[in-house]
This record gives sequence, structure tokens and C-alpha cells, in this order.
Amino acid sequence: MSAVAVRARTWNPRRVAGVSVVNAFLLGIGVLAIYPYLVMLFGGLKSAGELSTNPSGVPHQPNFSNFTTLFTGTTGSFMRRALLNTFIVTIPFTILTVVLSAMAGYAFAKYRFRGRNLIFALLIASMLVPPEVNIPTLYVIFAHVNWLNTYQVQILPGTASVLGMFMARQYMQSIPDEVLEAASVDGAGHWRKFWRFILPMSAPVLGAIAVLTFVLKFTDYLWPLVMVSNPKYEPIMVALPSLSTSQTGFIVEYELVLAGCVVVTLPLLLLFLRFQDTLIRGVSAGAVRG
Amino acid sequence: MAPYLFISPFIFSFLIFFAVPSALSLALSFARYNGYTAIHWVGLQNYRALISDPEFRQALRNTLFYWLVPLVPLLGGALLLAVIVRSKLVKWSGFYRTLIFVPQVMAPVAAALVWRVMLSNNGIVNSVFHLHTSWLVDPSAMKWGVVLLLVWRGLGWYFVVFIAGLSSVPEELLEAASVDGARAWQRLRYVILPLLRPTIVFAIVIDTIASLQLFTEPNLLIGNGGGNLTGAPPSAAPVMNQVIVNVTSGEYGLAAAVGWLLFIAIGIFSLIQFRLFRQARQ
Repeated sequence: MSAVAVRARTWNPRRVAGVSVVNAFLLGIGVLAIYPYLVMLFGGLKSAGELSTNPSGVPHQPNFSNFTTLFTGTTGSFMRRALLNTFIVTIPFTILTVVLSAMAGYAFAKYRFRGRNLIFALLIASMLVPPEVNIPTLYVIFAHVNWLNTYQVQILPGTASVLGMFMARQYMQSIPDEVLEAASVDGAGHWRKFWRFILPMSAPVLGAIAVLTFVLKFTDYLWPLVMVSNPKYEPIMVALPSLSTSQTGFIVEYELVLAGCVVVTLPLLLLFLRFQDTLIRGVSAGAVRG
Repeated sequence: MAPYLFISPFIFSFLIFFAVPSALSLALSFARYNGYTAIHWVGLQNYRALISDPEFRQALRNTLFYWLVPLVPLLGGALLLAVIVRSKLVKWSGFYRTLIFVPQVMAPVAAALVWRVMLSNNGIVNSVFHLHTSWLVDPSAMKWGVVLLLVWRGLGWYFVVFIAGLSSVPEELLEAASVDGARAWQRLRYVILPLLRPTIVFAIVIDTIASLQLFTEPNLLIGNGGGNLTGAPPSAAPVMNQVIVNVTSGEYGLAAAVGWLLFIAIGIFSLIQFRLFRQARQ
């Protein structure tokens, strides 16, 4: 890594040694990153007996019986219900969050109106208040209006995402005003301008908000844990830790739990590989601006 | 009128599910309320009760532990990896970026359950290091198990943040430094780190906020399992458990007070960090 090596990119021995050491180190880190995925996959393919004697290695007698157990009988109906609940909750939540973010972001980006800066500043400041502060009050309120153990308690709260609105606004500010002026000349109203011009042109940022929101909601644990206790409405993340064929929750069957982890990890992994750049850009959005 | 119509759905959801409940929760933190009988205003009594409650203090210490212990390996490790992956010695930086980020893709619930297996008595951690540690039940080891999980899952997140920060360091500046004879660590110390300061502040603030709100990992990783609401025993339970425990036992005033103490802590820590880094810059 000496200055000379950086300037002259020839294959001198020092450079070769540097490249090998660095790549070996990174591959080692990569193995550590991947290994728990293997423990999960291998564990899902082991019997209860093998998991307890051989928790770390390749399965000696790999079989899919955990996966069949997971989707048949009472465990199967429990599992299917929980997976269905997750999607019933996550998809509308994501759509609502994106729509609310886009509409509000558009108003803050492209209109001047009384109170705009004040409202915007208050919304940004509210990000300092941890959402968990509201759990006690919301629990009391939802108990009074009979919203505990429902879908709406999992779908509606949290749809006003200040971060999502902020991302949408930043992006829409970069759309030239001339586009909207031309549309106005052609007789387009406010709604039409939003629908026909702003939305399609903001597709990248709205996609990023959608993917991030979907992943966060899909993997959320604390909120449904507190607000939902009836398995009929329980999402998969709450059901997963207590998976067992006995349904009592006293004996956890880890080979089943690991198979269940494989089932919930697959969609996330596919989503990640497909939208990798979007997700990573979303994560690091605030990093550069600070 | 149009802009108000466009922001109204967002504002409506924000007021109903966030702003109004926040105000009510602040009020509730000064009251004793069990959900059905009349509200009793008790002033600062909830806060006093919490501060003198040994279980709350222990939870506070545990949360500080989960915040401070992984901080250096997470941020230092992520920065080191980011500098290495961005260096000219590495060709497939895209491949390594994916590889290092991938633990972040596993849901926290799944990650905690998988690490339960890895930290079991005959799990991989004990067998590789020839240990006989009961990571999941031994009070002196439990918290370290949580740290292992947090570092494994979190490293990729900070790595990606630092990669983004590094891409804002102009290439010409590094080359100019090399021409002037600056060695690798000198370029890191005098060129990269000062330019990366805003990114580092961002990473620390995000880490602080996330650590104070920690809940899923300790509760699913340690203790006896079985899908309890709050699985971690008091000696390793984070502050968030105090919110949940008080909600489930109907002590809503106490629960709200825990939440606001959390808010005060986040506010103070964020402020200190911004101050420290602003001073360092001048």
C-alpha cells in the first residue's frame, strides 16, 4: 500500500502480496457473514436429534421433513395464517406510506404556502422522539376503541413516515419547474400534474421508499408483539420464535424454527439481490449529507 | 388550497398516530392510570420511582452496555473494511460490498434465533474456541452473546454508510497526498478521516438511537426462549423491556415515563455528539 505501489500499478511482488493478503482477509470476513445463513439452512434440513448433536455442520441425513411439517396439519394452518397476515399488513402499509410520502413531499417541494417551513421543521424535529414513547398511550387508546388484535392497528399507525416524506421532497425538488409550468399551460390541474408528471418522474425515489418500508414492516417485531396477541392476526415474525407442533409454546422445536427462518429469509434475500442498489442507497442516504 | 390538500393525509396520520399520542404520553407520564379507573396526577412520582428502582437501573446499565461495547468494533471495523474495499488493492469491490452487507438482510428475529443455535452449549462459537460457556443462560456471558449478534448483523450497515461517505472524498486529493509522499496511514489520518467527520457523526447518532431502542435481539437471543413477551432476564434486559413490562401490567403512567426518559437520553447524547464533533472541527 505504499505510495509507489499506488501510482505505478505494475505487478511487483509487494503489490501481489498486498492484494493476496487483503483479498484473503475480505474473504474471511465474507465467510463470517455467510456462515449463519448456512447454520439456518443446514439446521432446517436436520432432524431434532441431529440438530442437538451436530448444530454447526453439514447435515448427515438432509431431509425436507421440517418444511413439510411447517406447511401441513395444524402447524401448517398456523404458519400459512401468519404468513398471510404479514402480507395483508405489509402491502397496504407500504402503499399507504409511499402515497402519503409522495403527496406531502410534492407539496413541500413544489408549492409555497403559509406555514410550510414551520410545518416542515416540526416534522423533521419530531424524528428525535422515539416512536416507542407512544406505545403506552396508543395501547390504551386502541384498547378503548377495540383495535387491539386487528389488522388496522398494524396497517395505519406509522404510515406518516417523516423520513419517506423527506426523501420524496429532496428528489422532487430536483425536477425542473418548467416541466410543471408546461403542464399548466396545457391545462393540467394540480392533481393531474402530480399524477401524470411528478409520480412517474419520481419513480426511483418512490421505489426506494417502497422497498425500505416493505422490509422494515415485514421484519417488525415489537409493534405486533404488543398490539396483537390473537394468532388469527399475528404476523410471521411474532409466530416464528414459538413454532412447535404442540402449539403450546412451552417446547420450542428449533429444527422447525430454523426451517421457518429459511422461509421468511428467502423473500428478503430475493428482494435484496433484485433491489440491492436501491436498498443500499436508501441506507446511506443520510450519510453524505450528514 | 392545493398544497394543503396534498399534505393533509400525511398530517392526518401524523397527528392521530404520532403527535397527539406523544402529547398524551407526556401527560400520562405524570399520572397514575390503569386504563379504566380515573386518572391520578402524581407529578414526578413515576420518574422518581423509576430512578430509584434497581431493576430499571439495571436495565439502563444493560442498554448502555449494548450501546457502548459494540460501538468500537462496529464503527471501527466498518470504517476499516470500507477503506480496504475502496483501496486500489481490491478489484471486486461490488462483490465484497454485497457479501459484507448480507447479514443485514436477515430479519432481526431470524438472526437472533439462528445465533441461539450458534451460541448453544455445543454450538459453533464454543467448539471453535474450545469454550464451555453457557452463552444463553450464564449471567456473565449472556450480554456478550448479544454483542456478538449485534456486531455480526450491524457491521454491514455501517460499512455501507462509510462506503458512501468515502465516495465523497475526492480522488485527486488522495493522489496529491501520495505525490507529496504521504503513506497509507497518513492519508487515512490527515485526509480521509477529517473529510469523513460528518459521516462518522451520522453513524454514531444513528447507532445511539438504535441502541437505546434495542429490544428484539436480547429478548429472542437469551433467556429460556419459548416466545415470551420479554425473554431476557432482568440482569440482561434492555430499557425497552421496562416500557413493555409496564404496559402489560397496566402501569401506563410508568411505561410512558420510561419512554420519555429514553427520549431525554437520546436528546442529550445526540446533542453531546454534535457538540463534540463541532468543537473538534474548529
